[in-house]
Amino acid sequence: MELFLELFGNVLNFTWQQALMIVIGGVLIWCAIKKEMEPTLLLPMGFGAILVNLPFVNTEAIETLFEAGIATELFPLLLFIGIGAMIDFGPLLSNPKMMLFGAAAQFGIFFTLGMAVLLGFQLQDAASIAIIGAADGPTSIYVANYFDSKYQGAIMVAAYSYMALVPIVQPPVIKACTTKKERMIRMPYNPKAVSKSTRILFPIFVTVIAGAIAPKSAELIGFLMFGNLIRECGVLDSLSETAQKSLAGLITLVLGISVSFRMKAEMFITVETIVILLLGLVAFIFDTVGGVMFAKVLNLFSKNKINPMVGAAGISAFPMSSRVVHKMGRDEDPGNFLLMHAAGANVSGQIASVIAGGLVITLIENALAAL
Amino acid sequence: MFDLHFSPEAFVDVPSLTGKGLLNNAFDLHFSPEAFVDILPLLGKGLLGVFVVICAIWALVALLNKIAK
Repeated sequence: MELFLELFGNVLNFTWQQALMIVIGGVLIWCAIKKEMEPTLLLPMGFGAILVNLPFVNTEAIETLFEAGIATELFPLLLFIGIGAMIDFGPLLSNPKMMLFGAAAQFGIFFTLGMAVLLGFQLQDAASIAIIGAADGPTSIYVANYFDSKYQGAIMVAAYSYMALVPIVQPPVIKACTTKKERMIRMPYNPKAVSKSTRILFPIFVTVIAGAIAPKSAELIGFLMFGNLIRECGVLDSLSETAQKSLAGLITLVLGISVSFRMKAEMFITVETIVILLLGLVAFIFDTVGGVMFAKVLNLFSKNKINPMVGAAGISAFPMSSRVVHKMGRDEDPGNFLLMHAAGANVSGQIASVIAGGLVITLIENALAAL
Repeated sequence: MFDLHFSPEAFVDVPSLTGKGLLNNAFDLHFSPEAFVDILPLLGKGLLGVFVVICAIWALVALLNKIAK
């Protein structure tokens, strides 16, 4: 008996919270593999959640990764280089008015910020939770870490889970906000030609403009646009490929497992986690509502009607949201081709979400300084 | 010396069963309408700021499409 206890005694140190977190880790892995929900992040997070919740386990290596890459904001910024290299801004540059929907679809961030404050969260934590509505993992990590939010684990799980659930979350919201007639509006696609010079100058000038107006977003937008510039310049094909594949893959690998450092049972099994998961859903829902309603308002003044569903594609969940909108359009009218309009709104959402993140940081910092 | 002992209470965590365990890391869920009202201008500024930056970028793109052919 003594020998048994000596060899296997640690098993008896499990708490029910740790056991539950291991189950949650298993669920995340199942979602990643079986349902193919954001597997690049959910699988490492799920495995990491299992690892850090074993009793008396040494988490030094994961903590080191967390301190090196998350606490310093390095991992999300490096990942943004890869994401920028993957994005083709062509549909947006040829149809730039779609940018407005990217802005409108950030409504959910600010709405959720208000709701989180209403429920009693401190301002910094409310901002970190609200940024789930950015529908962008690196931005969510960046802002949550900037405010040193203790809810980073829950925020990450919410952000990546809802990004993967866009095909389930958005359609009922869109249908609730629109009529069948509105969903059937056709939008002819007459793209303007986009020169190579425009494609090269765009990331440079966006960095300057966004960074000058919202300096806290400069790093995020800068790294995103740097990646895009590598893609568009035409002379760095090997670097572009490295950024899109090796860099993005490597950073994603360590990012997921690093975030799990904040998924220890004592940090995660709390009432706040449930509230945060609900608020995250609110953020996504009201992002969708914001984009759709903005399109409907524009239609009051516009001769050429906009299909309001395109507004919903302004959420930053690229490219899933644009595909969802396109499919919904085809379901209502098989001859309706909304993909390129939706793609323009979708990539605009990527830019707008980063700007929103920077502005949230600026405004909250100013509010706290004024107190 | 390593103190090996069987601790079922550590596993079951009795305070949690009474609900107190979950609230031990005290998030004080309470409605704060005054805080919400105070923050409304900030929310408006934030959303407006996003639109301002996006419109500036839109103007830039329109200019680039005109001159960079």
